Amino acid sequence: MNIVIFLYYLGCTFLIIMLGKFLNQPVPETHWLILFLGVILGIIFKVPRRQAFLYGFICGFSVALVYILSTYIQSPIMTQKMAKLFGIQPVGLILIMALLQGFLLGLAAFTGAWLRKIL
Amino acid sequence: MKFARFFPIFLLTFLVFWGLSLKLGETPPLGYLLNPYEGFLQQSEKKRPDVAMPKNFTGLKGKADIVFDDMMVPHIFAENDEDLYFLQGYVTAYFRLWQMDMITRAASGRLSEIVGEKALLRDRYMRRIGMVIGAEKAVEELSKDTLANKIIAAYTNGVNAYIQTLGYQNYPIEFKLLNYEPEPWTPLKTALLLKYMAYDLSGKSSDKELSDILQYLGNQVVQELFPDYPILMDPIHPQNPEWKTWNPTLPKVPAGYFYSDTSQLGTSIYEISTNEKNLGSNNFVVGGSRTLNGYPILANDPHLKLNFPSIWFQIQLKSPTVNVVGVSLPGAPNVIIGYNKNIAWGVTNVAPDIFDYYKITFKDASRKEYLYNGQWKPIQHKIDTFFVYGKGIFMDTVEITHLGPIVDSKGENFHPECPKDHALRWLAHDPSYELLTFYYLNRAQNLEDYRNALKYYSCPAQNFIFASKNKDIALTSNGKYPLKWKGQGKFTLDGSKPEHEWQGWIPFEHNPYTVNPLHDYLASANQFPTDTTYPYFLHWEFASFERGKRIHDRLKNMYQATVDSLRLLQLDTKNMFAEFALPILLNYLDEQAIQQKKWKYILERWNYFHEPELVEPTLFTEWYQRFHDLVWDEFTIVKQKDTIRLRTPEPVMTVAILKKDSENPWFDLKNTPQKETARELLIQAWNDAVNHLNKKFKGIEKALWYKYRGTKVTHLAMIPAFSSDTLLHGGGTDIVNALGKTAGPSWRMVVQLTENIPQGYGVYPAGQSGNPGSKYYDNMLPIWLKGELVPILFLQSPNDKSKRILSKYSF
Repeated sequence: MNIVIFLYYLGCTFLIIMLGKFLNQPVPETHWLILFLGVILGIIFKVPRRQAFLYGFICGFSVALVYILSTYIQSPIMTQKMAKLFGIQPVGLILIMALLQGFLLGLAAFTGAWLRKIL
Repeated sequence: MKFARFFPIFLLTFLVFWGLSLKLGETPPLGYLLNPYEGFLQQSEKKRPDVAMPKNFTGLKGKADIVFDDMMVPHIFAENDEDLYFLQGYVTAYFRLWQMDMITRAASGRLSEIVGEKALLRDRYMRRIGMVIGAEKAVEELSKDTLANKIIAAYTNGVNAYIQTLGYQNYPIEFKLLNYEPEPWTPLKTALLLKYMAYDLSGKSSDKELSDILQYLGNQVVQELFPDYPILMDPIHPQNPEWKTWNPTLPKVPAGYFYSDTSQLGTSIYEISTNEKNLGSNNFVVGGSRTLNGYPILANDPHLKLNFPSIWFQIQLKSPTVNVVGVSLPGAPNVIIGYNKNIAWGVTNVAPDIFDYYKITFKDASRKEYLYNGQWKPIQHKIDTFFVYGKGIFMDTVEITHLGPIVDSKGENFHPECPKDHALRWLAHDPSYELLTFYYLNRAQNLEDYRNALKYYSCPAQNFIFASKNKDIALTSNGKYPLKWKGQGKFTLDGSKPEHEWQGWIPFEHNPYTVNPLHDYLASANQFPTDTTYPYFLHWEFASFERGKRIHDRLKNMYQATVDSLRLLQLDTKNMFAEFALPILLNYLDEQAIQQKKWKYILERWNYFHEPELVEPTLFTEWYQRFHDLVWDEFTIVKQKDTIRLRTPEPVMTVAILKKDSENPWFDLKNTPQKETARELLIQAWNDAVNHLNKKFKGIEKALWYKYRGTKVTHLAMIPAFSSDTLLHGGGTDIVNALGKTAGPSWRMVVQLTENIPQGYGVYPAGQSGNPGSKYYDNMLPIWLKGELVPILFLQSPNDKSKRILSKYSF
């Protein structure tokens, strides 16, 4: 694992995603922003595709988890109600959400790394 | 080659992202919804939230302040009325935008745009009864009135100012789940909301039900079992000697009045409406001579559907012309029920007959002309377009007569009360000025102002109760009433005869009205407004006697009353029907022939109160209902393949027959060779009831009333996760605390008038916020369940000090 590159991944993800938190204004179209962010990270940093996926996955998952937990601690009601709606426990819903963000960022980084390879 | 290998990966990645951004069937776009940075998590609200008000509004003409109290009630202070209503629109949308959108979509027949084909029949029905036609006429009429126009425009601008601040991230959760966007608010939407309330409170008709009974069972049955005035009734207004002096010219009953040509109804199975009946509302006022502080106390609890978000939104409005507090309807300006420094008012539904069906006679199969007054008149056609989600465009052609639209042209079963090939005449089709009534009531200083404000009111008719610091109390059963012959509209009418049309209007001065009666209290519970000496015909049926009688009985004996006295009356759970019926029913219950004998002894000692954790109310209700169904077996008609369930007589009528003659032929079961009496039916009903309860609850002792009734406060979109658990609360239908399965006291308010500022208390079973992620979504429900009230904060200035103030915003 290239710690420096991983930290770049983590830093970029954290900054982009948490920007909204700092500005008290959610970042719009985050779903597509993650695709864009992952692809760019994959292109810029020279790591193998699988490693890019792993970095993306860990960063996407951990940033999302921190974000969700910080919100959940302050206000658990919405998460609890949505978990009830989906018929699962809140912890399950939190994990699903964080894993989904990890997978999406990883997939995007993987695609970016591949793109870098062919360019 | 590299590209060829990369392309599928790129495509897969894109498809994953794209697929997660799509709504698939009823599943919302999960990529957006589960995204923590813009999905449902954004609706999580902190325990003590900062209301996200902008720093400034470009639309305001003067300075303004909004103060939020600990119940998240906004108190709006503005330097002029336009700013006041602008901010009311903004703040209401801030908390209730989705509810406003959904109700007006439901009213205008546009739910299928969101949920697809399953809502199409309902949508078509809403358009076909003329909801949009009425709302459009109302907007056109209101636009001619400078004042009304100004209020609605300001309110609309306020709502739109809020909508403009929104992105997907801060859409209310329901928009995300149903995957659609809020659209700009318009005056038409406000009109639609008011028409929807009119539909909710007056869009009912017994015409077809009674015509069916007439057709299948005959006129004698109707006369005997469905009389024009009930056998037990304690009307709203005491008899007024003036009524006899009016001598109005009333329309004569035309020949062939019992018109019942239902031969073309065309439906195979039709049943009486499944809506809960007899829920209604209560209001009552006690005058100064009966209160501890010498000033009147007024109470009101309108019984409507119990939903999240609540139908009500609490608010205070203050400008140089007004300072009023109470509840508003999200989507409409002003306070609907509330008080100011000088007066308090409340409403209950009158429910006169203003929803009549007329049989249309077509010239031929082309249906281009219909008979009217001996001549053929052309039918007009209106094409309605529906954008159905997942299906595309659907066009519906509505035939329109001079009486109104033909709701059901093809026997499509839009509604159980709707006959085929009948035109609907509904008062809500006419333009009206209800908005101005509330504008003036909000500013009323005394009895005269109250009466003047009511002149603008048309539909749905309401019992407006009133109290002032001048110690006046009054009650007006107010609305625009068609002038009808006695019984007009009890059955379907003949659209070809001009004499079957409404013959004019009852003058406002002749609407039932009582002021400062000698007994110094007034009350209404949707029962008959008057006794039979009132010269006009309003309807042949109103709510039955129970709630009205119980309230009158208690008020008669109420002296030195306080706010608590009226609060406790709102919570009264005595079942007056049980008090009347149970001793008679038990009299015929032969101990030797029944199962679970001990429950008979328990029922004999019951005090008729519907407390939540008692079994007796459950047993009585189940037993009586089974007996009722057995008695009226003649009202289920099997005809070839069709089963027609006719409306059955009222329970009071049933027990009155039993009291008079237990061997009346109605007690004989038509499908058995032997002759039964009430005794056999009561025993059979008892045994069936106890066996059913035993099985269902695994022991009768577990059949607690609140579980049996099973009331929940449901989310407006019926999302179980956003709804409440079963409510542990007493009461029931036809009981003062009128909590039914889906409806009940939607706002409980008690106001004590004083020499200075009135002391008001109120609560509703939900919360101010429409956001399920907010603690203010349901924070008032536990208080409501305990039967307690919350003191209403009535600020005189934005700078008033109170520990209950959470935050203040100045613009």
